[in-house]
Amino acid sequence: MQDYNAVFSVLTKINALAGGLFLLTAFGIIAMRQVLASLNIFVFQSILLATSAFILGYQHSSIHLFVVAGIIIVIKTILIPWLLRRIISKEVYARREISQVLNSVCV
Amino acid sequence: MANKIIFNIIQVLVVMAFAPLIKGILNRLKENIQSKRGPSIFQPYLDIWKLFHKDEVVSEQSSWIFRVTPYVVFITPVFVTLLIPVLTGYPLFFAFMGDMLGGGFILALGGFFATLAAVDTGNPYGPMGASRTRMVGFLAEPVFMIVFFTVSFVAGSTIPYIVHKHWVTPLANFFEPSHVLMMLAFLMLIVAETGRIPVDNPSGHFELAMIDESKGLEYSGKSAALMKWGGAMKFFVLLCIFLNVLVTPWGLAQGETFWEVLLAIPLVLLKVFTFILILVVIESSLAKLRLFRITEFLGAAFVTSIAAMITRLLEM
Repeated sequence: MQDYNAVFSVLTKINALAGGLFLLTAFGIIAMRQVLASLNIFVFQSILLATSAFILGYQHSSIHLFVVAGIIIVIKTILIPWLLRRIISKEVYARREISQVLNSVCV
Repeated sequence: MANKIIFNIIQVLVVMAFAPLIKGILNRLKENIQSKRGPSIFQPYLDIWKLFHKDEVVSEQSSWIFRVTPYVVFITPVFVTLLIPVLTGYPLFFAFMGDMLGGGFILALGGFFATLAAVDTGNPYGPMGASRTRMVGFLAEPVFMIVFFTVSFVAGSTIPYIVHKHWVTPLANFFEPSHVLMMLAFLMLIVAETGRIPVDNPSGHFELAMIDESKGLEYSGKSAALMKWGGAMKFFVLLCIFLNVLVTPWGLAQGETFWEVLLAIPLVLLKVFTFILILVVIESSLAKLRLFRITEFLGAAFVTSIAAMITRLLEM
């Protein structure tokens, strides 16, 4: 019982954390200037939303909330970003000239 | 009682001894990530040693402020070290002399004197860098305040030794939204306060682009060594506040025996090293911001800290 309570309270805190980060990512989407970065934050935000729904579904043992989480994952993190990525022009991708390489010889 | 005084002094000695090492490791790792070999991790020690043996040149036009500043910059992180948990998880002799706001003000005093000294000599680059540092400083100040207020509000105290226990008792507290958001805000604050890359480039040699570095341009010899050492200690102290007070008290000594306190030294250094890895990744993957976009960066930090406070208030 003790263990169950501890897990329950951790899950509650993580759920609240998802809420807090959701708020933060909302500010982030407004503040971002790059289209792709904005889109990535949107995906992250949707994952947070799905996590929240999933945790609530587990805590209340409700199948409906799992379905909600599934729908969020499919639509908000896969379908909408995919469509948006298709729509935005090639120009957005073309401008990046420097890519990151980590050299392992010197390390 | 005698033990607690000795431990307090050990803390100060640890900060003085290992601050340049942390700086050296950070520089080395940054160069490694850029596919270069980089200087030895003991280079800051050698620099300080070299500077202590060099002659000092002081301009005739400068006032006493210029001469006093290196000592102020050197001594302020030492004072703050007396107040914060570096090695032990329980309050030491000087712990109740001042709270976190007091520590923040002592650190700010060092920055204030460094700014005055930069203006004092009349070197054109000094005042420019000083005014920019003040700009970053006054934008960072509200974030500092809000973070400290949130922390003290959550824990019901502003003494760092009492605050840091709150986050892991019980462990669920670690995942509190206000805690995580506050960590994010303070991370952005550390980046701004210590002149790291999205705000300032610490390894830049171009005077017109300098923010933090240009304050020390006029110093030579012993004063330059003290300024360098003081800067490294300020960095280390900020990391200790971040890691030991705001993030976790893990790795700190809980018992009052000597070997436990000594064992805490490698553990704390390990923690700092882990954090430095994260910092290096941040620094290497971002570009330096233009001067007038620093306001946006620190605005984001402020919004994060406000969000931390609001989520805390809504939870009540």
